[in-house]
Amino acid sequence: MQNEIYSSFRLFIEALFGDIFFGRSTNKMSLKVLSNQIYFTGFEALGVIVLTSLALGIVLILVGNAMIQNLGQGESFYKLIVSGFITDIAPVIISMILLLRSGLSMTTELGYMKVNQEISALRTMGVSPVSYLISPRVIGTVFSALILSIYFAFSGVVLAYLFSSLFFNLLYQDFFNGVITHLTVLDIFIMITKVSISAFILTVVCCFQGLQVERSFTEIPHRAIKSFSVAFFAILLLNFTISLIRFLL
Amino acid sequence: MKLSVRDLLLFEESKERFNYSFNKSFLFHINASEGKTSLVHALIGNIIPFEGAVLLDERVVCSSEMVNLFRSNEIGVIFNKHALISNLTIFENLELTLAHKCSLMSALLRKDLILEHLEACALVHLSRKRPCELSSSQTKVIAFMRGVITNPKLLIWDDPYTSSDVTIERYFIEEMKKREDSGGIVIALSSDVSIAKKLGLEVVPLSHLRKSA
Repeated sequence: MQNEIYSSFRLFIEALFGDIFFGRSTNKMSLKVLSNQIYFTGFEALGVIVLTSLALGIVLILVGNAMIQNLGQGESFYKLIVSGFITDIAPVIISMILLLRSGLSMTTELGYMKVNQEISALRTMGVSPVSYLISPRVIGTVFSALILSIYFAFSGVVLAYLFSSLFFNLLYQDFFNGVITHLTVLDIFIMITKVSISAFILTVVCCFQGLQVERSFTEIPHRAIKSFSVAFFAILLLNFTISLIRFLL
Repeated sequence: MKLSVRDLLLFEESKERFNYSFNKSFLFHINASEGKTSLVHALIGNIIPFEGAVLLDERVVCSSEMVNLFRSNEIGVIFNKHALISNLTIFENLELTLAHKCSLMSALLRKDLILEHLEACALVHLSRKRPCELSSSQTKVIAFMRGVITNPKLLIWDDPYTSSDVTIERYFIEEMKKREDSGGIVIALSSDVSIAKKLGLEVVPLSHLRKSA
Protein backbone atom coordinates (compact mmCIF):
# COMPACT_ATOMS: atom_id res chain seq x y z
CA MET A 1 0.00 0.00 0.00
CA GLN A 2 2.83 2.39 0.96
CA ASN A 3 4.63 1.46 -2.24
CA GLU A 4 1.46 2.12 -4.26
CA ILE A 5 1.02 5.56 -2.69
CA TYR A 6 4.68 6.37 -3.38
CA SER A 7 4.42 5.21 -7.02
CA SER A 8 1.20 7.15 -7.49
CA PHE A 9 2.81 10.27 -6.03
CA ARG A 10 5.90 9.87 -8.23
CA LEU A 11 3.73 9.48 -11.33
CA PHE A 12 1.76 12.54 -10.27
CA ILE A 13 4.90 14.67 -9.87
CA GLU A 14 6.48 13.33 -13.05
CA ALA A 15 3.33 14.06 -15.06
CA LEU A 16 3.09 17.55 -13.58
CA PHE A 17 6.68 18.78 -13.59
CA GLY A 18 8.62 16.45 -15.85
CA ASP A 19 6.44 16.60 -18.89
CA ILE A 20 3.95 19.40 -18.76
CA PHE A 21 6.04 22.32 -17.58
CA PHE A 22 9.29 21.25 -19.23
CA GLY A 23 7.54 20.24 -22.47
CA ARG A 24 9.33 16.96 -22.99
CA SER A 25 6.32 15.42 -24.71
CA THR A 26 6.20 17.69 -27.72
CA ASN A 27 6.92 15.21 -30.46
CA LYS A 28 4.57 14.40 -33.31
CA MET A 29 3.19 11.14 -31.89
CA SER A 30 2.49 12.70 -28.48
CA LEU A 31 0.68 15.55 -30.20
CA LYS A 32 -1.46 12.95 -31.97
CA VAL A 33 -2.37 11.37 -28.62
CA LEU A 34 -3.10 14.86 -27.26
CA SER A 35 -5.36 15.84 -30.17
CA ASN A 36 -7.20 12.49 -29.97
CA GLN A 37 -7.72 13.03 -26.25
CA ILE A 38 -9.10 16.55 -26.76
CA TYR A 39 -11.38 15.33 -29.57
CA PHE A 40 -12.68 12.38 -27.55
CA THR A 41 -13.02 14.21 -24.24
CA GLY A 42 -13.72 17.79 -25.24
CA PHE A 43 -15.68 17.48 -28.46
CA GLU A 44 -17.46 14.12 -28.44
CA ALA A 45 -18.80 14.77 -24.91
CA LEU A 46 -20.60 17.91 -26.05
CA GLY A 47 -23.98 16.15 -26.45
CA VAL A 48 -23.82 14.56 -23.00
CA ILE A 49 -22.83 17.89 -21.44
CA VAL A 50 -25.70 19.81 -23.09
CA LEU A 51 -28.23 17.13 -22.10
CA THR A 52 -26.95 17.08 -18.51
CA SER A 53 -27.04 20.86 -18.23
CA LEU A 54 -30.60 20.81 -19.62
CA ALA A 55 -31.63 18.27 -16.98
CA LEU A 56 -29.93 20.30 -14.24
CA GLY A 57 -31.55 23.49 -15.56
CA ILE A 58 -35.02 21.95 -15.37
CA VAL A 59 -34.40 20.67 -11.85
CA LEU A 60 -33.06 24.05 -10.69
CA ILE A 61 -36.00 25.94 -12.15
CA LEU A 62 -38.51 23.53 -10.63
CA VAL A 63 -36.78 23.58 -7.24
CA GLY A 64 -36.35 27.34 -7.54
CA ASN A 65 -40.05 27.73 -8.26
CA ALA A 66 -41.00 25.58 -5.29
CA MET A 67 -38.63 27.42 -2.94
CA ILE A 68 -38.87 30.97 -4.17
CA GLN A 69 -42.33 32.42 -4.57
CA ASN A 70 -41.65 35.13 -7.13
CA LEU A 71 -39.33 33.40 -9.52
CA GLY A 72 -36.87 35.78 -11.11
CA GLN A 73 -37.43 38.41 -8.48
CA GLY A 74 -35.54 37.03 -5.52
CA GLU A 75 -31.76 37.07 -5.25
CA SER A 76 -31.72 33.44 -4.12
CA PHE A 77 -32.84 32.34 -7.57
CA TYR A 78 -29.76 33.82 -9.26
CA LYS A 79 -27.50 32.48 -6.53
CA LEU A 80 -28.99 29.07 -7.28
CA ILE A 81 -28.23 29.48 -11.00
CA VAL A 82 -24.61 30.58 -10.35
CA SER A 83 -24.09 27.83 -7.78
CA GLY A 84 -25.65 25.18 -10.06
CA PHE A 85 -24.00 26.02 -13.37
CA ILE A 86 -20.74 27.56 -12.29
CA THR A 87 -19.35 27.10 -8.81
CA ASP A 88 -20.70 24.03 -7.03
CA ILE A 89 -22.73 21.48 -8.96
CA ALA A 90 -21.21 21.92 -12.45
CA PRO A 91 -17.59 21.03 -11.53
CA VAL A 92 -18.75 17.80 -9.83
CA ILE A 93 -20.98 16.81 -12.77
CA ILE A 94 -18.30 17.62 -15.37
CA SER A 95 -15.68 15.66 -13.42
CA MET A 96 -18.04 12.68 -13.09
CA ILE A 97 -18.75 12.72 -16.84
CA LEU A 98 -15.00 12.89 -17.53
CA LEU A 99 -14.34 10.07 -15.08
CA LEU A 100 -17.00 7.81 -16.55
CA ARG A 101 -16.34 8.61 -20.22
CA SER A 102 -12.60 9.18 -20.39
CA GLY A 103 -11.06 8.08 -17.08
CA LEU A 104 -12.30 4.51 -17.21
CA SER A 105 -11.43 4.19 -20.89
CA MET A 106 -7.88 5.32 -20.03
CA THR A 107 -7.60 2.61 -17.37
CA THR A 108 -8.91 0.01 -19.82
CA GLU A 109 -6.68 1.14 -22.69
CA LEU A 110 -3.50 1.33 -20.61
CA GLY A 111 -4.33 -1.99 -18.92
CA TYR A 112 -4.76 -3.62 -22.31
CA MET A 113 -1.48 -2.11 -23.49
CA LYS A 114 0.29 -3.38 -20.37
CA VAL A 115 -1.00 -6.96 -20.80
CA ASN A 116 -0.06 -6.83 -24.48
CA GLN A 117 3.51 -5.81 -23.51
CA GLU A 118 3.06 -2.53 -25.43
CA ILE A 119 4.31 -0.48 -22.47
CA SER A 120 7.49 -2.59 -22.29
CA ALA A 121 7.81 -2.22 -26.06
CA LEU A 122 7.61 1.56 -25.74
CA ARG A 123 10.46 1.54 -23.21
CA THR A 124 12.59 -0.60 -25.50
CA MET A 125 11.88 1.87 -28.31
CA GLY A 126 13.37 4.58 -26.09
CA VAL A 127 9.97 6.15 -25.50
CA SER A 128 9.03 7.14 -21.98
CA PRO A 129 5.48 5.82 -21.33
CA VAL A 130 4.86 8.89 -19.14
CA SER A 131 5.80 11.32 -21.92
CA TYR A 132 4.01 9.42 -24.64
CA LEU A 133 0.93 8.06 -22.91
CA ILE A 134 0.24 9.98 -19.71
CA SER A 135 1.27 13.60 -20.24
CA PRO A 136 -0.83 14.10 -23.42
CA ARG A 137 -3.79 12.55 -21.61
CA VAL A 138 -3.33 14.81 -18.58
CA ILE A 139 -2.96 17.96 -20.71
CA GLY A 140 -5.82 16.91 -23.02
CA THR A 141 -8.21 16.08 -20.20
CA VAL A 142 -7.51 19.29 -18.24
CA PHE A 143 -7.92 21.38 -21.40
CA SER A 144 -11.10 19.50 -22.38
CA ALA A 145 -12.49 19.90 -18.86
CA LEU A 146 -12.14 23.66 -19.17
CA ILE A 147 -13.86 23.63 -22.58
CA LEU A 148 -16.66 21.45 -21.17
CA SER A 149 -17.12 23.88 -18.27
CA ILE A 150 -17.74 26.68 -20.74
CA TYR A 151 -20.22 24.50 -22.69
CA PHE A 152 -21.93 23.50 -19.51
CA ALA A 153 -22.21 26.98 -18.00
CA PHE A 154 -23.28 28.60 -21.26
CA SER A 155 -25.82 25.98 -22.33
CA GLY A 156 -27.11 25.61 -18.76
CA VAL A 157 -27.78 29.32 -18.26
CA VAL A 158 -29.37 29.69 -21.72
CA LEU A 159 -31.56 26.62 -21.26
CA ALA A 160 -32.53 27.75 -17.75
CA TYR A 161 -33.60 31.10 -19.21
CA LEU A 162 -35.59 29.46 -22.02
CA PHE A 163 -37.32 27.13 -19.58
CA SER A 164 -38.14 29.86 -17.06
CA SER A 165 -39.34 32.30 -19.74
CA LEU A 166 -41.53 29.62 -21.27
CA PHE A 167 -43.25 28.65 -18.03
CA PHE A 168 -42.88 31.72 -15.82
CA ASN A 169 -42.71 34.60 -18.35
CA LEU A 170 -39.35 35.79 -17.09
CA LEU A 171 -37.91 38.64 -19.18
CA TYR A 172 -34.61 38.16 -21.02
CA GLN A 173 -33.08 41.33 -19.57
CA ASP A 174 -34.12 40.59 -15.99
CA PHE A 175 -32.76 37.07 -16.13
CA PHE A 176 -29.34 37.82 -17.61
CA ASN A 177 -28.88 41.00 -15.57
CA GLY A 178 -29.62 38.98 -12.45
CA VAL A 179 -27.13 36.24 -13.39
CA ILE A 180 -24.36 38.73 -14.31
CA THR A 181 -24.92 40.73 -11.09
CA HIS A 182 -24.51 37.61 -8.96
CA LEU A 183 -21.57 36.21 -10.90
CA THR A 184 -18.16 37.29 -9.60
CA VAL A 185 -14.60 36.72 -10.83
CA LEU A 186 -14.09 34.53 -7.76
CA ASP A 187 -16.94 32.23 -8.92
CA ILE A 188 -15.22 31.73 -12.28
CA PHE A 189 -11.85 31.20 -10.60
CA ILE A 190 -13.38 28.59 -8.28
CA MET A 191 -14.94 26.77 -11.21
CA ILE A 192 -11.67 26.72 -13.17
CA THR A 193 -9.72 25.55 -10.11
CA LYS A 194 -12.17 22.78 -9.23
CA VAL A 195 -12.55 21.50 -12.78
CA SER A 196 -8.86 21.57 -13.72
CA ILE A 197 -7.59 19.98 -10.48
CA SER A 198 -10.34 17.32 -10.62
CA ALA A 199 -9.45 16.54 -14.26
CA PHE A 200 -5.77 16.29 -13.37
CA ILE A 201 -6.39 14.00 -10.41
CA LEU A 202 -8.81 11.70 -12.24
CA THR A 203 -6.44 11.31 -15.20
CA VAL A 204 -3.43 10.52 -13.04
CA VAL A 205 -5.43 8.07 -10.89
CA CYS A 206 -6.95 6.30 -13.93
CA CYS A 207 -3.63 6.12 -15.81
CA PHE A 208 -1.84 4.87 -12.71
CA GLN A 209 -4.43 2.12 -12.15
CA GLY A 210 -4.21 1.13 -15.83
CA LEU A 211 -0.43 0.77 -15.53
CA GLN A 212 -0.87 -1.40 -12.41
CA VAL A 213 -2.40 -4.22 -14.51
CA GLU A 214 0.16 -7.02 -14.66
CA ARG A 215 -0.47 -10.10 -16.76
CA SER A 216 -4.14 -10.84 -17.26
CA PHE A 217 -7.01 -9.09 -19.03
CA THR A 218 -9.25 -10.03 -16.10
CA GLU A 219 -7.33 -7.54 -13.94
CA ILE A 220 -8.57 -4.65 -16.10
CA PRO A 221 -12.16 -4.46 -14.73
CA HIS A 222 -10.83 -4.65 -11.16
CA ARG A 223 -8.46 -1.76 -11.85
CA ALA A 224 -11.28 0.19 -13.54
CA ILE A 225 -13.43 -0.22 -10.42
CA LYS A 226 -10.52 0.88 -8.24
CA SER A 227 -9.84 3.94 -10.39
CA PHE A 228 -13.50 4.90 -10.21
CA SER A 229 -13.62 4.54 -6.41
CA VAL A 230 -10.39 6.46 -5.76
CA ALA A 231 -11.04 9.22 -8.31
CA PHE A 232 -14.71 9.60 -7.25
CA PHE A 233 -13.71 10.04 -3.62
CA ALA A 234 -10.88 12.44 -4.51
CA ILE A 235 -13.16 14.59 -6.71
CA LEU A 236 -15.86 14.85 -4.03
CA LEU A 237 -13.30 15.64 -1.34
CA LEU A 238 -11.63 18.32 -3.47
CA ASN A 239 -14.91 20.00 -4.41
CA PHE A 240 -16.18 19.85 -0.85
CA THR A 241 -12.92 21.29 0.53
CA ILE A 242 -12.83 24.23 -1.91
CA SER A 243 -16.53 25.00 -1.30
CA LEU A 244 -15.96 24.84 2.46
CA ILE A 245 -12.95 27.18 2.28
CA ARG A 246 -14.99 29.65 0.26
CA PHE A 247 -17.90 29.41 2.71
CA LEU A 248 -15.61 29.95 5.72
CA LEU A 249 -13.87 32.92 4.08
CA MET B 1 28.86 -5.39 -26.37
CA LYS B 2 29.04 -7.92 -23.55
CA LEU B 3 26.05 -9.20 -21.68
CA SER B 4 26.60 -11.08 -18.46
CA VAL B 5 24.38 -12.48 -15.77
CA ARG B 6 25.86 -12.65 -12.29
CA ASP B 7 24.42 -14.89 -9.55
CA LEU B 8 20.95 -14.40 -10.94
CA LEU B 9 18.09 -15.81 -8.89
CA LEU B 10 15.09 -14.82 -10.96
CA PHE B 11 12.41 -15.88 -8.47
CA GLU B 12 12.35 -16.55 -4.77
CA GLU B 13 11.51 -20.22 -5.41
CA SER B 14 14.42 -20.70 -7.86
CA LYS B 15 17.18 -22.80 -6.38
CA GLU B 16 20.04 -22.60 -8.85
CA ARG B 17 21.92 -19.39 -9.35
CA PHE B 18 22.50 -18.45 -12.94
CA ASN B 19 25.90 -17.16 -14.07
CA TYR B 20 26.71 -16.45 -17.70
CA SER B 21 28.81 -14.18 -19.80
CA PHE B 22 28.12 -13.73 -23.48
CA ASN B 23 29.82 -11.86 -26.21
CA LYS B 24 28.44 -13.76 -29.18
CA SER B 25 25.02 -14.79 -30.49
CA PHE B 26 23.23 -17.77 -28.99
CA LEU B 27 19.83 -19.28 -28.23
CA PHE B 28 18.73 -20.07 -24.69
CA HIS B 29 16.78 -23.27 -24.71
CA ILE B 30 14.27 -22.99 -21.88
CA ASN B 31 11.32 -25.32 -21.48
CA ALA B 32 7.80 -23.89 -21.64
CA SER B 33 6.56 -22.23 -18.43
CA GLU B 34 10.05 -22.14 -16.92
CA GLY B 35 10.44 -18.37 -16.90
CA LYS B 36 11.54 -17.59 -20.46
CA THR B 37 9.60 -14.33 -20.78
CA SER B 38 10.48 -13.36 -17.20
CA LEU B 39 14.17 -13.74 -18.10
CA VAL B 40 13.64 -11.45 -21.13
CA HIS B 41 12.07 -8.83 -18.85
CA ALA B 42 14.96 -9.19 -16.37
CA LEU B 43 17.47 -8.76 -19.21
CA ILE B 44 15.86 -5.51 -20.31
CA GLY B 45 15.36 -4.19 -16.79
CA ASN B 46 11.57 -4.46 -16.71
CA ILE B 47 11.62 -6.72 -13.66
CA ILE B 48 14.14 -6.74 -10.86
CA PRO B 49 15.42 -10.27 -10.18
CA PHE B 50 15.04 -11.67 -6.68
CA GLU B 51 18.82 -11.72 -6.30
CA GLY B 52 21.85 -11.12 -8.50
CA ALA B 53 22.26 -8.78 -11.45
CA VAL B 54 22.23 -8.50 -15.20
CA LEU B 55 25.21 -6.54 -16.52
CA LEU B 56 25.61 -4.97 -19.92
CA ASP B 57 29.19 -3.94 -20.57
CA GLU B 58 29.70 -4.10 -16.80
CA ARG B 59 26.82 -1.68 -16.18
CA VAL B 60 24.03 -3.02 -13.99
CA VAL B 61 20.82 -3.23 -15.95
CA CYS B 62 18.12 -1.32 -14.16
CA SER B 63 15.08 0.57 -15.44
CA SER B 64 16.47 4.11 -15.38
CA GLU B 65 19.72 3.15 -17.06
CA MET B 66 17.98 0.97 -19.63
CA VAL B 67 15.96 3.87 -21.06
CA ASN B 68 19.25 5.57 -22.01
CA LEU B 69 20.61 2.34 -23.45
CA PHE B 70 17.48 1.89 -25.52
CA ARG B 71 17.63 5.52 -26.65
CA SER B 72 21.26 5.18 -27.58
CA ASN B 73 20.15 2.42 -29.91
CA GLU B 74 22.18 -0.34 -28.25
CA ILE B 75 19.34 -2.79 -27.67
CA GLY B 76 16.44 -4.02 -29.77
CA VAL B 77 13.79 -6.32 -28.35
CA ILE B 78 11.30 -8.58 -30.08
CA PHE B 79 8.57 -9.67 -27.68
CA ASN B 80 6.74 -12.97 -27.82
CA LYS B 81 3.39 -11.16 -27.89
CA HIS B 82 4.79 -8.89 -30.64
CA ALA B 83 3.56 -5.83 -28.73
CA LEU B 84 2.90 -3.54 -31.68
CA ILE B 85 1.31 -0.30 -30.47
CA SER B 86 -2.33 -1.01 -31.23
CA ASN B 87 -3.55 2.53 -31.94
CA LEU B 88 -0.75 3.29 -34.40
CA THR B 89 -0.46 2.16 -38.01
CA ILE B 90 2.37 -0.16 -39.05
CA PHE B 91 4.25 2.79 -40.55
CA GLU B 92 3.81 4.80 -37.32
CA ASN B 93 4.95 1.83 -35.22
CA LEU B 94 8.20 1.69 -37.16
CA GLU B 95 8.51 5.47 -37.28
CA LEU B 96 8.08 5.82 -33.51
CA THR B 97 11.08 3.53 -32.97
CA LEU B 98 13.20 5.49 -35.43
CA ALA B 99 12.02 8.88 -34.15
CA HIS B 100 13.36 8.16 -30.68
CA LYS B 101 16.36 5.98 -31.43
CA CYS B 102 17.61 7.76 -34.53
CA SER B 103 16.44 11.26 -33.69
CA LEU B 104 19.02 12.88 -35.97
CA MET B 105 17.66 11.06 -39.02
CA SER B 106 15.43 13.25 -41.19
CA ALA B 107 11.76 12.36 -41.69
CA LEU B 108 12.41 11.61 -45.35
CA LEU B 109 15.25 9.21 -44.56
CA ARG B 110 13.10 7.54 -41.93
CA LYS B 111 10.32 7.06 -44.47
CA ASP B 112 12.76 5.60 -47.02
CA LEU B 113 14.21 3.21 -44.47
CA ILE B 114 10.76 2.00 -43.39
CA LEU B 115 9.67 1.47 -46.99
CA GLU B 116 12.92 -0.33 -47.74
CA HIS B 117 12.26 -2.82 -44.94
CA LEU B 118 8.61 -3.24 -45.89
CA GLU B 119 9.56 -3.77 -49.54
CA ALA B 120 12.09 -6.42 -48.56
CA CYS B 121 9.19 -8.46 -47.17
CA ALA B 122 6.70 -7.38 -49.86
CA LEU B 123 4.53 -5.82 -47.16
CA VAL B 124 4.37 -2.16 -48.30
CA HIS B 125 0.59 -2.47 -48.66
CA LEU B 126 0.34 -2.91 -44.88
CA SER B 127 1.94 0.43 -44.01
CA ARG B 128 -1.36 2.25 -43.36
CA LYS B 129 -3.01 -0.68 -41.58
CA ARG B 130 -3.30 -1.11 -37.83
CA PRO B 131 -1.89 -4.16 -36.01
CA CYS B 132 -5.39 -5.61 -35.45
CA GLU B 133 -5.88 -5.78 -39.23
CA LEU B 134 -2.82 -7.98 -39.72
CA SER B 135 -2.60 -11.76 -39.78
CA SER B 136 -0.55 -13.49 -37.10
CA SER B 137 2.40 -14.11 -39.45
CA GLN B 138 2.34 -10.50 -40.72
CA THR B 139 2.36 -9.26 -37.11
CA LYS B 140 5.43 -11.41 -36.38
CA VAL B 141 7.31 -9.96 -39.35
CA ILE B 142 6.48 -6.37 -38.40
CA ALA B 143 7.53 -7.05 -34.78
CA PHE B 144 10.84 -8.43 -36.05
CA MET B 145 11.20 -5.43 -38.36
CA ARG B 146 10.65 -3.03 -35.45
CA GLY B 147 13.35 -4.81 -33.46
CA VAL B 148 15.99 -4.64 -36.21
CA ILE B 149 15.15 -1.44 -38.12
CA THR B 150 17.47 0.70 -35.99
CA ASN B 151 20.29 -1.82 -36.39
CA PRO B 152 20.88 -2.34 -32.63
CA LYS B 153 24.10 -3.84 -31.26
CA LEU B 154 22.19 -6.29 -29.11
CA LEU B 155 18.99 -7.96 -30.24
CA ILE B 156 16.92 -9.87 -27.66
CA TRP B 157 14.39 -12.13 -29.30
CA ASP B 158 11.73 -13.87 -27.19
CA ASP B 159 10.32 -16.95 -28.94
CA PRO B 160 12.04 -16.58 -32.32
CA TYR B 161 10.28 -17.78 -35.45
CA THR B 162 10.95 -18.40 -39.08
CA SER B 163 8.62 -18.19 -42.03
CA SER B 164 7.57 -20.56 -44.77
CA ASP B 165 7.43 -17.57 -47.13
CA VAL B 166 10.71 -17.47 -49.07
CA THR B 167 10.85 -13.63 -49.24
CA ILE B 168 10.35 -13.25 -45.52
CA GLU B 169 12.72 -16.11 -44.70
CA ARG B 170 15.40 -14.38 -46.78
CA TYR B 171 14.72 -11.10 -44.95
CA PHE B 172 15.14 -12.82 -41.54
CA ILE B 173 18.41 -14.47 -42.58
CA GLU B 174 19.81 -11.27 -44.10
CA GLU B 175 18.99 -9.27 -40.98
CA MET B 176 20.58 -11.91 -38.73
CA LYS B 177 23.68 -11.85 -40.92
CA LYS B 178 23.80 -8.04 -40.70
CA ARG B 179 23.96 -8.31 -36.89
CA GLU B 180 26.83 -10.78 -37.18
CA ASP B 181 28.75 -8.66 -39.72
CA SER B 182 28.43 -5.50 -37.63
CA GLY B 183 29.73 -7.26 -34.52
CA GLY B 184 26.33 -7.23 -32.85
CA ILE B 185 24.89 -10.14 -30.91
CA VAL B 186 21.52 -11.87 -30.90
CA ILE B 187 20.14 -13.48 -27.77
CA ALA B 188 17.16 -15.65 -28.58
CA LEU B 189 15.06 -17.51 -26.01
CA SER B 190 12.95 -20.45 -27.08
CA SER B 191 11.52 -23.76 -26.00
CA ASP B 192 11.99 -25.04 -29.56
CA VAL B 193 15.60 -26.05 -30.06
CA SER B 194 15.15 -26.69 -33.79
CA ILE B 195 14.78 -22.96 -34.44
CA ALA B 196 18.45 -22.45 -33.51
CA LYS B 197 19.63 -24.42 -36.52
CA LYS B 198 17.40 -22.43 -38.87
CA LEU B 199 18.73 -19.15 -37.49
CA GLY B 200 22.30 -20.38 -37.22
CA LEU B 201 22.56 -19.86 -33.47
CA GLU B 202 24.48 -21.78 -30.82
CA VAL B 203 22.21 -23.44 -28.23
CA VAL B 204 22.62 -22.94 -24.49
CA PRO B 205 20.29 -25.12 -22.43
CA LEU B 206 18.89 -23.45 -19.37
CA SER B 207 16.63 -24.98 -16.74
CA HIS B 208 15.36 -24.48 -13.20
CA LEU B 209 14.78 -20.76 -13.71
CA ARG B 210 11.40 -20.87 -12.06
CA LYS B 211 11.18 -24.05 -9.99
CA SER B 212 13.71 -25.48 -7.59
CA ALA B 213 15.67 -28.47 -8.90
